[in-house]
Amino acid sequence: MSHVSYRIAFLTAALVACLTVNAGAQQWGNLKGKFVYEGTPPKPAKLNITKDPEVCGKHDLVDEALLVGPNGGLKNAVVYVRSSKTLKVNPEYDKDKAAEIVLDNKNCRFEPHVLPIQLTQTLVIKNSDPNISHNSNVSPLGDAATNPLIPAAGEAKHSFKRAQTIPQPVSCNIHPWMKGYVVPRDNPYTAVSAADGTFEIKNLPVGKVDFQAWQEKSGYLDTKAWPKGRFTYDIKPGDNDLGTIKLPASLFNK
Amino acid sequence: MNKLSPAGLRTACVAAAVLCALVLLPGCSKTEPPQFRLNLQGRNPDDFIFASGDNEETRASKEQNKASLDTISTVMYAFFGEPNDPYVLAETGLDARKIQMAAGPTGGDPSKHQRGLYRQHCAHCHGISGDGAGPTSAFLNPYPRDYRQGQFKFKSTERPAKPTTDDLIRVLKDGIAGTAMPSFLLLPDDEVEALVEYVKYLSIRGQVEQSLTITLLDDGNPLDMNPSAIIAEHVAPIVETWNTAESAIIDPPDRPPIDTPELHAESIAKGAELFRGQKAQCMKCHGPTGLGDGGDEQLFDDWNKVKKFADLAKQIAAAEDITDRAERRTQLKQLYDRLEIEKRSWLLPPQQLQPRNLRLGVYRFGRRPADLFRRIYAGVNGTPMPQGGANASNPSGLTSEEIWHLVDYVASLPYDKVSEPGVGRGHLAGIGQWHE
Ligand code: HEC
Ligand code: HEC
Repeated sequence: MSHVSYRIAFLTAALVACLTVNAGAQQWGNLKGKFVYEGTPPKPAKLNITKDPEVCGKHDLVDEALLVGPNGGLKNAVVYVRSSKTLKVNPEYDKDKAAEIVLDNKNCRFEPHVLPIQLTQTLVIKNSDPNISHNSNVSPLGDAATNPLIPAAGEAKHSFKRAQTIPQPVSCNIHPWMKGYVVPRDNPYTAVSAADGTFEIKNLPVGKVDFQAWQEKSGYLDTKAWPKGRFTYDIKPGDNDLGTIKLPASLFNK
Repeated sequence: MNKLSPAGLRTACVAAAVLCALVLLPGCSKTEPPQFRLNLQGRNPDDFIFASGDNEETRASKEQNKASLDTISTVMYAFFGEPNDPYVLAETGLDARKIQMAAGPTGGDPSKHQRGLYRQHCAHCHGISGDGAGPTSAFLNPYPRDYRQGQFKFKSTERPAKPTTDDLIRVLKDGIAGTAMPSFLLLPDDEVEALVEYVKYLSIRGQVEQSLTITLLDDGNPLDMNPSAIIAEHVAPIVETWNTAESAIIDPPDRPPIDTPELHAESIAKGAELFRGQKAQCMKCHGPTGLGDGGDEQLFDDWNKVKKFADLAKQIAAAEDITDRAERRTQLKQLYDRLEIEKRSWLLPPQQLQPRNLRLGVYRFGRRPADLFRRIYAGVNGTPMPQGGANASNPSGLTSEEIWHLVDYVASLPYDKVSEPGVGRGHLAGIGQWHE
């Protein structure tokens, strides 16, 4: 082995070692859990379709403020990381940083009903309903408001400049039953629970992380264990499980 | 020479936060000159008041809330002064001479300089702090504008942009037709300009305060007390929105010709069709004949939609139907308690917003074709009336041609007979006025 190639080999080895050490310095963990509604959930009310019934009337629309699955799983509860100035973000998320995040006006409801978005991303509000225009009215606290009229097959773009502590309502005033939420955040760590109540936030930095939990009907999921819906969790490398989070019906009598 | 400038003094003051707050908090002084009211809108007052039943945790949280208020008052005083003695932070770019003219008690100061214009002409409606809650406000519909969110409805600029100085001057000179906002046409120009500057001062002040409250009370984050950090994060972005207003003026493109009665009638007919069609959707709010009766749901503007009274009223109505007596009692009690808190959290109860009755021909920001074009293109900022026109972020919106047809139709409505909705000879009656 020549002197030069020896040096190169050495440097490469050093570099690889160095990289592994660096990767080892920051470790990541996932947090999952399942929200369960305790009690007999009320049946979601049927919505009264008063506008554009020929398009909107055929979808059996219901009030989505409280959706509970067969085994009590609570849909659309949001869990997100609270303070974030020194928060480390896993590079896995870099590829989504400038992504377009779609909020669709579809079947005369917002799809999805609750939509997390980062400040670096662009909100694309679509209208997939035939023939009719929708408007999408959002006025986030301390940030610019928007309310575009979006014709069929159209799409409007918007970007948020300020992270919000509480999910912000989106409404269509032409079809007043339409209501949804956006969650503009300055980090990617936001999860919305699925129809069975489960959620997972991936690749959180290991160590103590402050979380916030919210649901449309209850507001902050304010329980004994989580005053004002806040909790701290010591994230360990790999999987972390909050297990079943039982939520008394009284939280949602709001 | 190293004289201590007012700014330096303020810096020192911010640094000595707690001490300052103790001395300067509203209510502490002997003579009680008017003070700016802290913006606690929508917050439960109980979160700031100690009660005998508080446990340790609640006490700690209230203590923190009060400490946050102290910090906010301190920064607000350091950056903006008080109603009798405003401070004009250089970074706001505001003209201190104009602010002096508008601020302070009514009448001249000992040197006979004009002062107190705002308190003389505006404060009884818009409030000392510009919160729209002066003593007369509760009796008015719509309420006077609360400037503190930095949102304005009537302007010539793109929807999210601030009004230009000329827009504000126009609002003051013309007043706002159909509302209590009077015309100040008789005031000399320099006084109108001073008042406009003061509206900007109150609005910037209000937005900075809102930004601080969100950080401290909602996010629960500490504030970096270094003045330049506060300016960079909480003041500069707001000032920037005022500085860019001029470049956001909507310039209506040339309109399709309507110089013969036939062409005009054709344009009106196209506008009528659009108005009732499912692309423009105007009818859904303004009603099939433009009477403003299209909506069956309550509408609110951004100042009022945050108040939860209507939601709670609906929930109370639903709870009344619960058959289980005990359950009904508990739920109703909870709901009425929340309604009580909601009432105490706001200076004024919510006010519904009516889609405009377009048959009256009364417009809040001008009746010229260009005014109506801008209104339909951008909608009315801070309200459900949407941004109708196509632009870079919403290319599929209404085309300029479509907007011009709508302008022609809307302008014809006051001259049309409601009994003959749609296209009739009534539309042509407006033609003389149109070509004025
Ligand atoms: C009699 C009550 C009254 C007085 C006095 C009054 N205003 Fe108003 N002002 C209103 C009302 C009501 C509105 C809201 C109109 C609306 O929303 O349609 C308003 C709105 C405004 C707006 C907002 C326009 C926009 O685009 O959103 C400005 C700016 C304003 N007033 C400035 C002033 C100034 C400056 C003075 C004093 C020179 C003043 N007003 C005096 C009642 C008043
Ligand atoms: C979602 C309901 C809604 C829709 C859709 C709507 N408007 Fe409006 N419109 C309103 C409301 C509410 C106001 C009053 C806003 C205010 O003053 O705060 C208004 C105000 C107006 C004004 C009065 C402006 C002024 O200067 O006083 C005009 C003109 C107008 N609308 C035209 C239209 C036209 C044309 C369309 C269809 C392209 C339309 N609107 C669609 C709700 C709506």
